[in-house]
Amino acid sequence: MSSAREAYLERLDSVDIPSSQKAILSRIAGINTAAKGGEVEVTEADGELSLPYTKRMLKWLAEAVGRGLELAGGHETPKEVRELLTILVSNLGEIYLETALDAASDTAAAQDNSKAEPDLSYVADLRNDISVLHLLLVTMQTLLMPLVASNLTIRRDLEKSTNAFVDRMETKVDAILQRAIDAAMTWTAKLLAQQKKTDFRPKDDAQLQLDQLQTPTCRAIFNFLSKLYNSAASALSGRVLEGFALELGLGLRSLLLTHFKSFQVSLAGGLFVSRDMTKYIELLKVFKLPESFNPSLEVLMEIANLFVIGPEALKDRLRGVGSQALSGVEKNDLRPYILRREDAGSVAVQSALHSL
Amino acid sequence: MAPPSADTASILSGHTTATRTPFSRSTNFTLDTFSSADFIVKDFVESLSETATSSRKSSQAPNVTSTQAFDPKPLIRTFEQALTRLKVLSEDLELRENELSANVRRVEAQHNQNIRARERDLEQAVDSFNGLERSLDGDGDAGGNAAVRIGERLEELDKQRQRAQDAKFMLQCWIEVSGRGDLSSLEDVRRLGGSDGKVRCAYIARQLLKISQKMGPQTNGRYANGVNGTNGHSNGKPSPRDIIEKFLEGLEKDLLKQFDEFYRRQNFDGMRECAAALKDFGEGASVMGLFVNQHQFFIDRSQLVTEDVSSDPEWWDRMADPDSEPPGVESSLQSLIDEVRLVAQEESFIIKRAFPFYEEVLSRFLQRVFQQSIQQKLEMVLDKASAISALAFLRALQTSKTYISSMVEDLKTHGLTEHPEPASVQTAAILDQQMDELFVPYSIGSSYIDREKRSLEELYSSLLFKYTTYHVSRVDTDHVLPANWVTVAQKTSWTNHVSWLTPSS
Repeated sequence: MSSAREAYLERLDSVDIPSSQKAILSRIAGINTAAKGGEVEVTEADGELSLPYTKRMLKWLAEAVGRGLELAGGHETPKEVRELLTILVSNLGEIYLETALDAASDTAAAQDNSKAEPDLSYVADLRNDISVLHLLLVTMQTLLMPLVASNLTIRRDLEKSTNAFVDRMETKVDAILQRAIDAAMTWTAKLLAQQKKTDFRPKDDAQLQLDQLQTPTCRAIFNFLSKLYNSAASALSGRVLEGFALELGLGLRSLLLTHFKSFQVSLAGGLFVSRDMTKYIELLKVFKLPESFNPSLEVLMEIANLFVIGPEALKDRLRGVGSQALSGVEKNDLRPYILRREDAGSVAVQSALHSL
Repeated sequence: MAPPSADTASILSGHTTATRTPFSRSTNFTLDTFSSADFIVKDFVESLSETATSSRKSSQAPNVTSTQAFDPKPLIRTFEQALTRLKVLSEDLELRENELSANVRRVEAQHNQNIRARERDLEQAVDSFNGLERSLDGDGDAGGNAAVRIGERLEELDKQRQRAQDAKFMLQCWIEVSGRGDLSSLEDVRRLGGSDGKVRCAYIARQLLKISQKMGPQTNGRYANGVNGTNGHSNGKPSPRDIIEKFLEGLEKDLLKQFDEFYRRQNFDGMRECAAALKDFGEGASVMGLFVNQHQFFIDRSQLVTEDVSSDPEWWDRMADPDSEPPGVESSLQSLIDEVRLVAQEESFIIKRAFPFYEEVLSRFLQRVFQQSIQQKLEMVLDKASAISALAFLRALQTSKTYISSMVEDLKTHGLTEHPEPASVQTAAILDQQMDELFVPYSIGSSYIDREKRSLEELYSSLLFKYTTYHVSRVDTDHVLPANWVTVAQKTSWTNHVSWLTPSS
C-alpha cells in the first residue's frame, strides 16, 4: 500500500532531478527530505480537499497554458491544451476530487447500519468538493475550451470527455446525497420509534405543566434534521439544494403521517401533538420547499387539529367547515387518526366518523 | 570765337599748319594759336598791335621826331589782315565740322542696320531651337526616337570601345602572363589606378582566371612540357592560373586592408569604394566577414557573452517556485540583449553608409549576432535554469523569448538601415527567421509540451502527495469496500506511471 509513497520518495531521490528542484518539490509536498526513509506523517486534514490547493493547481496550469501560447506560437495550441487538460482532469479531477467523493461515499456507506446517530458531516464537506468541481469546470470552459475551438476534432473530443467526467462527478455527488437522505430518514424513523406511548396521554395535568413545549422525540428530530439541512445548505445551492430539501421534506411528511396513526391521544395529549406538529412544520418551512408543498403543511396541521378539537367541531371540520385544508384528502384516510382519539368510542365522534 | 577744345585743336592743328600762308609776321597765326592753353585774347591783340607799331618805327627811323603824330594806318592794316585771316580759318573749321557730322550719321545708320540684322538672326535661332525642342518633345516621334537611338548607339559604341580596350588589355596581360609569367601591366593598373583601377583590375584578373581555366590543360601542359596536365608546377614555373590567383588574392588583401584603414578612420566613402570593389570577390564575403568579425561589438561584447549567468540564489528560487511570479528575464541575458538593440541601431547607420550592398551586410551582421552572441548566452541561461528545475527552465525559456522578441520588434520599428522608416521586408524576415531558429531546438516536435507536462505532473503529485498517501492508507485500513481500494490504488499507480516513467528528454 505504501508503494505509491515509496515510488514518489524514490523518485525524489533519483539523480535526474536537480537538488534545487527536489527541495522545491519536497516543500510543496510538505515532507522533510532530511529524515531519509522516515515515515511520512499524514493527518486527517491532509486527506481533505483544500480550495487553496485547487487554486494553486489551476494557477500552475494557467501559467503553463499561457507559456504554451507564447512559446509555440499558436498552431499547436489545441493539441497542447488537450495534453494539459488531460493532466488537470486526471490530477485535480480524478486523483483529487474523485478520491474525495469516493471517500465521502465510503463514509456514507459505512454509516448505513449504525446504531448511533449517523455522522452526516460529510454533507457539509461536499461544499469543498463541489467548489473544486465548479472551479475545474469554470477553468475548462472559460480558459481551455476556447483555445481548442479552432480544432473541431479535439474540441468535440474534449467536450465529450469533459462532459462525461462532470456527469460522473455529479452522479457521485447525487449518490452521496441520496445516501445522506436515506440515512437521515432511517435515523428519523428510529427516533420516532422512541416516542413514548405516554407522550400524548399524559397521566396528570401537573406533568403537562412541567413538561417542555415539545416531546423529546420531536426535539431530537428537529435538531437532527436542522443540522443536516444547514450542512446541506452550506454545501449545496440551487436545484441541488432544493431537490435535497424536497426529498427530506417528503420523507419526513410520510414518516409523520404514519407516526400519528400509531399513538392514542388524550384530550390533553392532543395539545402535545399540536405543538409537535407545529415544530415539525416550522422545520419543514426552514427547508424552503417549493410552493407546491404548502398544502401538505396545512394538511399536517389539520391532522394535528383532529386530535385537539371537540367532537362537534370535528364533524364540521370533516365536512370542510372552518378550514378547507382537508378538502383534498380522501376522508377515509383521516379515519385512522380520528380512531386514535381517546374519545373515539363516544357517540359524537362515532357520528362524525359515520359521516365520512 | 570760342576757344576750341583740345580734341578739335589736335585734329585741326596739322590741317591748319598745312594750309598756313605766309602772311606778314603780324598775321602769322593758325588754329593752333587759339587752341593753346595759354591763349589770352588781350595778349593776342597786343601782339598784333606790337608788330604794327614796330614796323612803323623801323620804317621811320631816319627822321626821328618826338612830336610825330600817331599814325593808325599800320594798325588798321594789321587788324584788317588778321580779321581776313580769322574769317578764312572760321570757314575752314565749319567745313570740317560738317564733314565730320556727316560721317557720324553714316556710321550710325550702318550700326542700326547691323543691330537689326542680329535681331533677325537671333529670332531665327530661337525659332529653330523651339522647333527642335518641339520635335524632340512630343509630336516629333521621329526626332525624339532618333535622339534616343543616337544616345543608345553612342552608349553601345562606348561599351564596345571599352570592351575592345579591355579585351586588348586583357590579351596583352594574357600574353604576358602565359608568355613571361608575370602580370606587370596589371600590377601597374593596380598600383596607379586608385580604387577605380582596383575594381577594373579585379575584373580583368578574373577574366584572365577564366581564360586560364578554359585553356587549363593546354597552357599548363605547355609549361609541363606536355607530360601531364595536372599542375603547372612540374617544371618549377608557376602556371598562369596560379599567378592570377595569387594576384587576385593580393588584390583582395590590399582592398581589405584599405577598407580596414578607412574603417578605423571612419571614412565611410572610402569604405564604400573598397566595399564596392570587394563585392566582386566572392560576393563580398570577405569584406562582410571582416566587418562583422572584427567588429567592435564582438570584441567588446565577447566578455559580456561569456560572463557568468546570474547566480543570485534568491532569484533562482523564485524562478523555480511555482507559487511565485517568475521574476523576469535573466540579468546577464538582459544586458546582452539591450546592448544588441543599441549596437544594431548604431551599426546600421555605419553599414548603410559604408556598403553599397548594405542589406546583405546587415543581414550577415544580424545573423552573426543571433547565432553567436545571443545563442551562446541563451544556452548558458537555459543550462543553468535546467540545472535548477524543470519549471525554472520553462520560465527562463519563456521570459527569454519574450525579451528577445520585444528586442526584435524594436529593431523592426526602428528600421535599422531604413531608419526612420520601418525595416525592410527582407530584414524583418531575417529577424523573424533568426528569432525562430534560436528557439527551434526547444520547441522541436513535442519537446516543449513534454517538459511542460512533466513539470506540471511533478508539481501536482508533490502537492497531492500527502493527500494521496492519506487516502491510500485510509482504504488500506478500511476493508469495508475493497472495490474502492482498487480504484484509488490504480489511480495512484497510474499517476506515478505518468509522472515518473515518462522519458526524461
